[in-house]
Amino acid sequence: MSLFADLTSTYDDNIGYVGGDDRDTIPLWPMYHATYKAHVEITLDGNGNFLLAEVIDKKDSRTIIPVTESSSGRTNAPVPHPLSDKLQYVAGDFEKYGGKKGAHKLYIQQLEEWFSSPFSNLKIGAVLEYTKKGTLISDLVKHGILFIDKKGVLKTKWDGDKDNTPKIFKVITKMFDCVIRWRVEIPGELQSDLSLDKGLWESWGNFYRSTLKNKDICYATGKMDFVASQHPRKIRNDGDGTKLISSNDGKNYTFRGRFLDRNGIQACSVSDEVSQKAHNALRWLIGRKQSFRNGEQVVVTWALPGLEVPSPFSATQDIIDEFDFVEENDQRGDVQQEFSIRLSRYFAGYNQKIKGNNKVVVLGLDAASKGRLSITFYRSLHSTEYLKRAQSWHHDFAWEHTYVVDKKQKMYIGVPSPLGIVQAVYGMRVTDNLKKATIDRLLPCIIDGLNIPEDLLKELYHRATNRIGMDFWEWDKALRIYCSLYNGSLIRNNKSQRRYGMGLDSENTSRGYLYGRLLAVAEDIESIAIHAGGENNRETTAVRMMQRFASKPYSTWTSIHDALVPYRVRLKVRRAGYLVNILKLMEDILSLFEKGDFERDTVLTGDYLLGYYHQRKEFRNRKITEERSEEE
Amino acid sequence: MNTIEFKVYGNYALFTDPISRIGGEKCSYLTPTYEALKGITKSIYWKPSLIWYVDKVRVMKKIRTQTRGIKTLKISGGNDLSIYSYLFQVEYQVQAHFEFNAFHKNLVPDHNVRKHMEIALRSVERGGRRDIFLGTRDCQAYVEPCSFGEGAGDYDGEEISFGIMFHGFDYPDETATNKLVARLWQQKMVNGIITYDAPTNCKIRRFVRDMTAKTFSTEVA
Repeated sequence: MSLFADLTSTYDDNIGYVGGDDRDTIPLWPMYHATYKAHVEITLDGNGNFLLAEVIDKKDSRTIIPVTESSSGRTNAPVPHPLSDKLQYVAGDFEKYGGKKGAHKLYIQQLEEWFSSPFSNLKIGAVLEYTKKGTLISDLVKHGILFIDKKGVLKTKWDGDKDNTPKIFKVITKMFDCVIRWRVEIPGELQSDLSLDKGLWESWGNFYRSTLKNKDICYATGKMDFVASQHPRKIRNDGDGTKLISSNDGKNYTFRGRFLDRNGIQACSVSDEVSQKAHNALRWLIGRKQSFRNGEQVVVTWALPGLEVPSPFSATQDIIDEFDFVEENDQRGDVQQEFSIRLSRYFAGYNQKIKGNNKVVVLGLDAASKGRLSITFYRSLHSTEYLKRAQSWHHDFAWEHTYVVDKKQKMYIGVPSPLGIVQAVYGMRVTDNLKKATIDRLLPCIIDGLNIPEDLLKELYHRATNRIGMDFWEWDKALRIYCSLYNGSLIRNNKSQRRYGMGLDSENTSRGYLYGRLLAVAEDIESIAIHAGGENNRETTAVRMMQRFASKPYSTWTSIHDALVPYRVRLKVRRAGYLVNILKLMEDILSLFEKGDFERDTVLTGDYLLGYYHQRKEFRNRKITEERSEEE
Repeated sequence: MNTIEFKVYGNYALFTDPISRIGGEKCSYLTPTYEALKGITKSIYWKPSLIWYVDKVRVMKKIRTQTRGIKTLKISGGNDLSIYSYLFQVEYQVQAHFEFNAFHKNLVPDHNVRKHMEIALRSVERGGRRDIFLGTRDCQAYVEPCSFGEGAGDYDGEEISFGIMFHGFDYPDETATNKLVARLWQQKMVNGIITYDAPTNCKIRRFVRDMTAKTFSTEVA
């Protein structure tokens, strides 16, 4: 698959990163190696003599060790790793101290083969010498790393003074599963840590390849090479048991039919090199900060050769880092323009960074069952095309959203986060499966430039209309996200006109928009009146009737209008000036209606929510200016 | 000339990538394989005396994928859960031609170009003699006659390389050897058109297993 070719070349391009910087991040594994947690580090000299030992801190425990195909996939039957492994394999005195099923012989045999091969290394010789002695556990006990009880069996729990618990009991509970890693001090050799020795990685890689026998055509490269019979796991994280390529279904219908074998070899073969490099590269990419995770789902984006690109799910503010939060009453035209300019500048800059013929790959993975990982999304785009589409996503679907910083509400202009969209459409208690499926549906909107699916818009329309069904902040978010999506979907539909800005459009004569404005006006009248009367804040009639209003605006408007009468009376006394202005505004809006539009009692289109939003925003701005002038 | 041109379109397509098939989480190639299109052409019209060769395909609509959760059946009852990745809303223009199969020596009397050509053209107009499907059987499709190259396609002027892809199988009844062999090639789309290498020109071949061909004769058994 082109994906595997992409991953393989990513590995090759990033060969400098192999091994990683610190043990805290997921490194790019060298070929034929894997990472495991080690608990004890033993230091030897060049002749295989024990020098010292140390218990490893949890944060330093991730160790790169050489593995074989069968050892990395081992389950019940004992198969040794070549160098570092559990006590069961490396300690000759394992059973003496109470261990069961010691497999020391297998370990020594494998290590001997490596040592006597043309790819040998002095350091392996040291480890071999030492482990042959069979005194590993007794040495560790002697040096106070491991402990034995009265019967001479390895202690699994510390029963002494709690304040002086030895370190080993803090890093591992199943004492018999303790894993050893090695250091060999040879004068003149700089790197004594065997897990970080590049020469040793190569030595193991070369030796292992010399033991491979089967050659076949690789379906990813088209070349003849040694084939992998098993493929790696631990792709999404250290504990991930799923495989991307697997062929273990010899019984059912998965690949049998014209293929008569039970292991899928007739159906397909992938070379060992591609399998190693591609999986290692993928693991490394997923481990970086740029991958998006939602439970089992992972979406990872990268530019060959391994450069960073804005992830499709990045929030707009994360990208435009110098973007300050916007003050709510800023001049609306300017803010939007400024946003567009900054966005273009940012993407133009990125374009410069990723010069030349670079590809950007977006990959979505998910697991429906334990054991198998599937590719749910795969796009390989030219980098300029990807950046163009990312920019279009941020541009088309931008709206004003709120963000709480230091208990204060701030606003920013940008796209809603994909999780935010899912929660707005389906509510906070959305199931994981629905979350995943919806995010899958949003990916083509972000990456392929497609429009938002209509059913999501419809669902969100109903939720945003049902204001009394949720608490204010949730509803406010839903409304803003609806405006984002509705606005963006209009742009993507028409590509030219009918774009709503984020500010009030006082010339707009479309029925839905004007009705939305009217609703906001009615709400304002009542809430000002409530405030003026010193009453407690309560739901206004407008809000309570919002749902009915959306389906039968004309008849509901009559009810709302009538309900406003007592409040108008009150306002005439207490806020005469305001009343005059607001009634004039209502008249102006009513006069904008085209002939026959107002009297039609049919359901309102989505732009009513936009009109409602814009008008409310106007009122909020006015209040702030009033407050300001009061302060002065 | 023995060439037919037709348009095939449908809502879903699944040209499974072999690497993903073995695990059961099928993922579609982004463009059709030679073998899949040959299968569609055979569904339109085929007789044992013919071998269809697909010359080229033109991708008309923007490549879109859609994933679906599938409950796959197990032999002994019960089911598994898998995730399949389909192509969504596809339309292709195909140009193919036929030659006679020299392997079936009994059928030489049937080698009548005009007869087969006329039936083939009629079959294209009728939308094919047998059901048309895009890759897997659940992706129903429709066939209509067209003129290859007509109309505007979404990939006109664009060039995309898809890497190494499965090309097709060499079946014993077309190669006169008792082997099933898989062919691979570098699939590339130029100006929206993929021009397939002829099977004999494919350089990457992989032996799958032994297989014997079915023989046809004009006598009733």
